[in-house]
Amino acid sequence: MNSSQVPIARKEGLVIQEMPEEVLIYDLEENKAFSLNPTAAEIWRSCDGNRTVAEIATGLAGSRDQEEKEKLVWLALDQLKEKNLIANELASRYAGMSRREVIRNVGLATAIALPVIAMLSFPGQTLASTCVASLCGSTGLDSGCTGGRRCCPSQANPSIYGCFTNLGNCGVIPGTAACP
Amino acid sequence: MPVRKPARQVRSLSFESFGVRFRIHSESSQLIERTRERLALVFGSLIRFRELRNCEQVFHIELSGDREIEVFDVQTGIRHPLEYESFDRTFESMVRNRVAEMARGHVFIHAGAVTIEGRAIILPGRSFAGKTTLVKALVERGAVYYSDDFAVLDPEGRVLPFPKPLSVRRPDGEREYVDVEAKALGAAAGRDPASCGLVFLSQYDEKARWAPLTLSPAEGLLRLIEHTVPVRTNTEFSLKVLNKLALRAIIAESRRADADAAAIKIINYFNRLVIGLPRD
Repeated sequence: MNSSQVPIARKEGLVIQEMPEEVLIYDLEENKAFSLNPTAAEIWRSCDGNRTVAEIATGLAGSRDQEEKEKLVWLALDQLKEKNLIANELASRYAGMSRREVIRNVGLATAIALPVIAMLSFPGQTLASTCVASLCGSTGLDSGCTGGRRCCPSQANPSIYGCFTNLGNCGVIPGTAACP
Repeated sequence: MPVRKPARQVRSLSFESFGVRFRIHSESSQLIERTRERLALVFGSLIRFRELRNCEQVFHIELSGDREIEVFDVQTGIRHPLEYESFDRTFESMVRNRVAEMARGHVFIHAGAVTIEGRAIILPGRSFAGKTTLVKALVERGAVYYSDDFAVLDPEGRVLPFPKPLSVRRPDGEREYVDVEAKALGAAAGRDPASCGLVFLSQYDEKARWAPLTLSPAEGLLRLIEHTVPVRTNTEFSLKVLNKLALRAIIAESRRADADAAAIKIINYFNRLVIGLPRD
């Protein structure tokens, strides 16, 4: 593994909410939100452009095994990079191992919780402009729509309602694809 | 000499709610009055009818054809044909959603809200997720009613009452709704901001087994974002307020079966985990 690289956390275009141990990040450009568990948050905070991957690993509490901790850092960086939360390019990851293999090894070898990044995305941001011609009320009243259509919230943005056809249940609206 | 058409009499109604200023124009004084009555019923003290200038939300409403009323939204330039019979309810909910989206200094979450011993329970959910049914079941068991549609948060993350009449299904028809005042259910309506004790995310599942899982603050916040109306229009403020809420409240989730059984379990869960905790 190339652990002399210096990862830099992306900050532009993000709204960051620091929590006691975790971090919540909202990507304004892609309309996605991420929650970082304590391990992922600690690694992400350490990506300050001054520390190498090896140094970040050294700073982690838990197991003394530097190599395992570096794998753990790469595990987090891999996810952060994939989610566009790292600003610079990083080469090499787990020296030929798959992410699954690393998770298995690192999980057993370190006393540190694996980094987990949960994501919520908001597709179909253009719903308001594509579906507004058939906006209706928020009460789910079928009668709010003409032509026998049903008034349902959009899955992409529950605050936006539209008149949809052929839906037995509002819960199945596939975002903008259901625009009449 | 040409006959001059009589000048059109356009009436208007202006009002403000949560800092969002509206003006509605119509040639029909009846439509204006109908709109005003419905808004007053739903918004109660949360709306102020008064002469306003510089309204950012302007609508024209006119009768169109036999059984339609056309709503022209000046801001978006879109015309919405609405059915005559349901116009009041549909247009009012358009106004309500617009307030939720544009409100200044407040964050609206799609959620039911009640309090028990002064601490709020927020029940996020989309339409048809059973929010009203669950809220109704809770207030029938002594909870104080705050809202069946939006949990409104102030800048400190406290829950404000938005006690519109509950919109419940008519017993004889699946698709018809009637307004029921909280007091008709024997419940009190909230008046004061309440610190939130519990956010409970639940999804109806006929065969669900009650298995509440407590989420970490960040996980909980992530799940709340999904139901937060202004998260894209006012992201930074929304997240700041949600963060305050998430740090003080327990956020949990479980699938649930029928609302009555779930209400009892939620109350027990709330009493066990929240009552007795410090408020701030």
